[in-house]
Amino acid sequence: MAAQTAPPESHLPLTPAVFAILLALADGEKHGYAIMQEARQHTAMGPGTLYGSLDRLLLSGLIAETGLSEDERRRFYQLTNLGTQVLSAETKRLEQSVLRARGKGVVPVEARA
Amino acid sequence: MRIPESLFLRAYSAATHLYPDQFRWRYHAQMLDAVHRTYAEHSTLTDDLGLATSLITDTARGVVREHTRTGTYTRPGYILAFALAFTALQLAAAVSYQQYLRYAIDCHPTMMGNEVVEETKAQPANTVHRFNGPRTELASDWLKGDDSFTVIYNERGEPVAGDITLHGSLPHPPIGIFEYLSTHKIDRVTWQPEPRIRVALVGQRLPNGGFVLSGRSLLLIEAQAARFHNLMLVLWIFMMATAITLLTGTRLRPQTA
Repeated sequence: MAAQTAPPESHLPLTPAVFAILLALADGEKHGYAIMQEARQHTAMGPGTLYGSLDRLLLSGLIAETGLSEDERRRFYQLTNLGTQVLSAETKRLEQSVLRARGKGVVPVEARA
Repeated sequence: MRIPESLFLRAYSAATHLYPDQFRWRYHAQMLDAVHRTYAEHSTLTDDLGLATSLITDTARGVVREHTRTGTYTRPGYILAFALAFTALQLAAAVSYQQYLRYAIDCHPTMMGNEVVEETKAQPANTVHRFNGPRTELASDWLKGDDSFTVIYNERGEPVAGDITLHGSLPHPPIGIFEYLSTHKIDRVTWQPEPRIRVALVGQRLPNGGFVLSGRSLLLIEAQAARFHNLMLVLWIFMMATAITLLTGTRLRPQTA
């Protein structure tokens, strides 16, 4: 698949929702609702945004389905190698942005997602 | 008190039909599960209202995004529904704007009429004297302005005093206005004594049995309404042209398995 051979940087920058989803999957596979719960700590997210983003991430090969729950109502997702690389690349990009901001004297304040 | 979960789930399940079919088949159960679990986390009516609001916003955004991504917004049914909704909205906007303009133009004559009614209650003789000064001709450049006029009539509907004339004499509006005012407190009508003279008239009954009519030219307001209607027409033509282009494009596009 062409998307899977593309370099991780070609997927950047990620939207806040996609970054939050990939970050939620960084510590292992999760089902949709668990991803949404964790992602909501970073950004506002409803079912439409979540499953729309998951669908696009599946198509671009950043995540993969790993199976269904027993009642078949939930599907589990995990990061692919490409997804992990994209998440790392985005984290690095954000870190550099934060460093540049700090270098200009920008002080972080409390913000709520 | 809370919004019942079954209502939430039924409404959300119905709303998922707005998504492209393929997307809905794949994620419908999971999306409902997410709503069910989110609902279970909440405990108050305020939480429920917040959830309902966020679901409406999320669905609206998601539906547009998914249809744009899959190109299914060009389905004939969606295009026709959009064209109908757009036309209905435009009609509502045109009617509302016209009503608003009419309300706005009636405001000053209504106030002037109210003043005369109050004056007549306090000092009936002074009211007539106030309008025995210089008079403006109605069939003149007065029509292009936004000034109001006032004319007082006796109980038989004959003009007694006023600050405007129509071809040199105090105006005689249709007697039906006074008949209506005999049983109603106020009347708002459009009076057209001759072509090109259109006046918004507000009539009120006076405590002494007479009537007061205040009016304002409709020329400016009607020009304003016509400009708005023309804009609506241009938008409608543009929308229809776009819809027809999309429909034609959909029909001409080769069907894939």
